[in-house]
Amino acid sequence: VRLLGGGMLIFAALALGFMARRRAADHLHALERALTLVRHAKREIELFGTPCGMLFAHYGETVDEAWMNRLYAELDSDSASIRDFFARLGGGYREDTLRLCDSTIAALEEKRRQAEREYPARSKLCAAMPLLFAVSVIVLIL
Amino acid sequence: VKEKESDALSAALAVLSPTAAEAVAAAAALGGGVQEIRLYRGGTVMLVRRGVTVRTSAVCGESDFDGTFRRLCGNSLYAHGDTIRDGYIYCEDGLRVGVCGRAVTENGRIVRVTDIASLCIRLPVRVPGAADALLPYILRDGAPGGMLIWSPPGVGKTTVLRELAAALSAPEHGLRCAIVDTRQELGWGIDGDGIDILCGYPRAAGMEIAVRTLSPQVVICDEIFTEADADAVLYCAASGVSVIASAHAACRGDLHLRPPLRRVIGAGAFPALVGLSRTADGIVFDISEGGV
Repeated sequence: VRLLGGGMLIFAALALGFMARRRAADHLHALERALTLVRHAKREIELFGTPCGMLFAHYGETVDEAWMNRLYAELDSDSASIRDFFARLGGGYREDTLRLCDSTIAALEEKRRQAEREYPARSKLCAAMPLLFAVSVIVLIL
Repeated sequence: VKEKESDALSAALAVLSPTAAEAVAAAAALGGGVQEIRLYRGGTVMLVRRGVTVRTSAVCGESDFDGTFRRLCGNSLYAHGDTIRDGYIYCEDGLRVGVCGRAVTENGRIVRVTDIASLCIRLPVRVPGAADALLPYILRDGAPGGMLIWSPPGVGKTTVLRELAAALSAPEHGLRCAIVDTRQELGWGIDGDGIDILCGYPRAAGMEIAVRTLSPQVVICDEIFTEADADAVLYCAASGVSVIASAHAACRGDLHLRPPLRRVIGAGAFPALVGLSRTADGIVFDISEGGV
């Protein structure tokens, strides 16, 4: 029974680690998607003066409320800059709007660089910590 | 036509605050004829009906005004910056909105307009047949001739030009018409064969492009104003293309006070000059010969 319990603990720890790693990878991927989204918006505004309602009409993906909510959830604490971008988009003249795009892109790029730097270490940590915790518990039980 | 006009009114009502929309809808229900809706930040909502300004009981508060302006811009101010600098916003459904605020200039050029203080929402109208009386003066020599239509603002020059375009391109006359619709207002509600609508083109450039590439028999445009416009009119006339255009003037003599107009009239580009005035019965034409 103890062996079975220990096995289940290790399995759960591995699963937890896998999920945490997956979340870190999703976060990085979400930053990439946010960057692509803002760059697309900037291109549409700069080249065509496309109004807000049509900005993502040719984006390749359906950017609706559900899509944005998923993105915000994956960005988690890093969603502030893109939320602010969409809150302010449309309220300024072209030059102001392009500056807003540039500053949002710069902020997201910085976050992405930081996430890329941290990803390998975080990934190892996510794998190791739950496993170590599980092994410690098993040692204590046995 | 009525359906399109009704759509334009509905579009205007949709951007207004509920109180303003209610007042305008009530006025429209009382026989219609609403030409303009005038909004002033924190002021009374006014209407122009059949040329007469009417004050409504509705007041347009600051937030109502800002909301209306935002909706007129489709929540995309950046997409309208160029036209706001020129004093207007063009909206879908043919609404054209005059914009008044504080201009920020750089080297004498308006770079942006801030502190928007008033808006004049102009509702487009189609009055089929309204310009039929002018057709004999355009078609009198077997080939189309030019015409300059003048009046003070708000009398109906654009409406008359629009109806002339529709009539001249109709199968009965079958002329190839090009409309240079700089402010995206003139071509509203016209979707016939034989009309090329150059939408949003600068006037002079649009006229030259039309002549060079579209082989029109008649070029129609609004508000001849600058020397460049006058050059373009003369270019059309010298290319064998008649121009039907409009200009702001209170009387015929005013036309000669402005050098660009004096030049084109003197050169014979407009064999017919038509003054418009509004009476209780409608628009009255004052037709005279243009000078050579």
